Amino acid sequence: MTDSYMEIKDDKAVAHIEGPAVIDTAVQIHKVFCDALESKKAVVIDIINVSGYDSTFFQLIRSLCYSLRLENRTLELDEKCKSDLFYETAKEMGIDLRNDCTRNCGSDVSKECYFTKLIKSSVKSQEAPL
Amino acid sequence: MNMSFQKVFMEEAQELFDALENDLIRLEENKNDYELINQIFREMHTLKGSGAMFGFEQLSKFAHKLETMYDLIRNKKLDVTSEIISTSLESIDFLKVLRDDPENKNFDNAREKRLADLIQTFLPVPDQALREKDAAQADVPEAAGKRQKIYRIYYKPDRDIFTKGINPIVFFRNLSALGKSFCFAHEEEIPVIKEMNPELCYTFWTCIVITDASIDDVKDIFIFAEGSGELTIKEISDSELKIEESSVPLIGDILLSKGDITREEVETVLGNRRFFGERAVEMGFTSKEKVASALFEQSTLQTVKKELVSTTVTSSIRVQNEKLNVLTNAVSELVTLQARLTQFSEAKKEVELTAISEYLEKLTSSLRDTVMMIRMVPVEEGFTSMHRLIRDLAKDLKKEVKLTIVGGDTELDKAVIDNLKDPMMHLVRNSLDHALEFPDERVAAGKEPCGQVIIKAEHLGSHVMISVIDDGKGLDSEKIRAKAVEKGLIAASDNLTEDEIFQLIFLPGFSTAEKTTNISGRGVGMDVVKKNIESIRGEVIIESIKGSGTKIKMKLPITLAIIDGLLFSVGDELFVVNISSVSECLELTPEIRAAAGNRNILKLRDSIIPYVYLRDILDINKSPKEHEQIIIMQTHEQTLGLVVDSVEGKHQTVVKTTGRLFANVKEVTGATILGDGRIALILDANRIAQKVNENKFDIQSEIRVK
Repeated sequence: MTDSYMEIKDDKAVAHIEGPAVIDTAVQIHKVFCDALESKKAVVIDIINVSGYDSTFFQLIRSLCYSLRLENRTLELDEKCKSDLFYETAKEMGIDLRNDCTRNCGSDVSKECYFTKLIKSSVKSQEAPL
Repeated sequence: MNMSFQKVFMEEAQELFDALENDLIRLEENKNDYELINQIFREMHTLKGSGAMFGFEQLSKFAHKLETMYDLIRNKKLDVTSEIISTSLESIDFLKVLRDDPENKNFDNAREKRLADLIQTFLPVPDQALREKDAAQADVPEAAGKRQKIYRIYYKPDRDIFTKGINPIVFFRNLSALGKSFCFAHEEEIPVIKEMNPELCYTFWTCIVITDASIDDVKDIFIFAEGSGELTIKEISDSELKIEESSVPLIGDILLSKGDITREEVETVLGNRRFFGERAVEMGFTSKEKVASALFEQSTLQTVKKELVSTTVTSSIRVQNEKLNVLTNAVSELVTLQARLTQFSEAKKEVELTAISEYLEKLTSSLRDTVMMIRMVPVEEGFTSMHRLIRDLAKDLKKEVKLTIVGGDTELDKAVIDNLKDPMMHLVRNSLDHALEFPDERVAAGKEPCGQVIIKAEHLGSHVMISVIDDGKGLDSEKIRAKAVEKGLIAASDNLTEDEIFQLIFLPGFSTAEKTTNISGRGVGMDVVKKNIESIRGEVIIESIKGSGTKIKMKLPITLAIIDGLLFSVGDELFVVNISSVSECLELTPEIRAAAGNRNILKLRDSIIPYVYLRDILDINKSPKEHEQIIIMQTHEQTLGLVVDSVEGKHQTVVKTTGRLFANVKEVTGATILGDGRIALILDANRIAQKVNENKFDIQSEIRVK
């Protein structure tokens, strides 16, 4: 069992995820994310000490991202989100970090999709004209 | 088995042997390079599979033993050691013997057993499964040229798959193992966090896989997913991929083929000539998510298609050297015939004939360039055996040597490279045996214990310079001189420059080695090097500093067959020089002569250029024309003007050998036949410059009196 937890730091809700972020720990991580959402503050996810990922964790992040956006709140990923393990697992799962997610929340993806905010692509810029 | 197929395999096997030898030597330097280990494994696997396919049973069986060993290494069940590398190299030597004896008439049982036993000693006791896998693999020759297929996989698992212990990532990893796999996660059904059950799967996937595996192989991957969700696996046909067209499938086509939109809706959207996906979403025919998925597929197929096209473009066929020579000769004859036609059409002055002649000239020129390009190969191909040679020699001699190849991708005519192999071997042997010191001697001399041999190739105008450089003890001019005097090659009183002394080592039988070894020192070699290089119109230059090292440079023509030349005449004789040596031509006017103040020099823009008369150099006794021309040539060491009677123009020059007649005229490197049947001699600009310098043609002398 992991020791994931949430703390309020610098007026932000920081979700510290520890150990494997997989199906066995999904319930606990879900609770941490729910607590972060309840805090009504901007959320930061800290995955520095995550040892592995599976689909459940990516679903949880997507879900949190969607929930926060609906409340006009922000989500930040710790710098370590760009770690090879996180990035490679996301790629293997078909979650290409260079593209926006398919979750249609009605927001302007290029500005507000927290998880992929650095990614510029949109339907218009990618598609070849007929 | 068809003999021609066997011949093809024998050639292919040689390339694999060369690659294996180099890769094994690289592996010895970096024993944990798993990319390299995989490469070696694949090469052995190909050798085994192709060998079995072409009837080389023993070769295939023995290659299998090596392959098994490298399979264990790549699976980290066995560590690479120097002993393994040595045995592998020895095994490759044995494989070469098996390759050359397809019917195994001289099969060496003892050698096979010794090597097989040696390999066996490295292996851990294999588990039964591995043995069975190996045995199965041994019987299946590698299928050559399998068609690449593209599959679209749609997988929407039941929500509870996580709790059933199914992890979708395993499927995607296994797909990647089949070939290239691109996955796209659909996340639109993921709810807000409070409504989410973290143990359910809300994500589903579309994957594009490019592989030569069958659809059953792909289905096998999802065998545990059967009955626990929606799964479709479909091969994308060439027509769907539009492989024959330049464009990738359009969004409309993809949505249509997936059933996400109807034909009528496509046509309605097409009424507005905007981005299809955007319009289709706006008009409510499909969702943004589905367009995003189609976009993924579009970009993936674009990548895949590029790869397929690139595979097609880079595919090659193997052509025998002899056939290539026949083609080159035919093109050479065509070039000569075309020159004849050009002359004929110029004489006739008929517009239509001139147009035909000019068009043919363009085609001939293009054909000539293409043939020449086909003949060009990277020089590294000629150096592949050097890594092995140096490794083995260094071990025999108990020296430490590192080989570095610089500019290996420089291209040369295949014929030149073929002629280069023996000289290179002699030079490298000499470097190792005589030049490089033993580690303790090197340390005592303040050098690194490991000696360096550098093989360097670089372009030099129409030539390629190949240098063999070592940081050994260098040539001892005093010792060479003394040996030459002792052998009666020069008189003790002869006053020679250091360069002239170095040239003595090219004399037949000349050696300063105190003892002969099985590697070198018999005085056979350097004369052969020089002869071989000169036979291909090249030259050998030696630079050496005692105690620091030696550089032997071989200047080689890029091609031996056809060159672009500049045709000119002196008296009744016609000559050609390689046009790449020529920078410009101008008339030798009285003003130029006067401005030089009675000296054979020319002020050209900001440069002062000396010039010489070709009639003087070649002793042509015909009166010069009133208006002479100067050809400005860039030679190896200087810019030099060559005064000739008249410049005829550019000429596609088919190089023919001159035989013994001109053997002693170093400036003449060949001859060519002109369209009207006349012969022009091909001159080497560098050798003319060399002769000018050697004979001290005085550029300060009085202006010639006509």
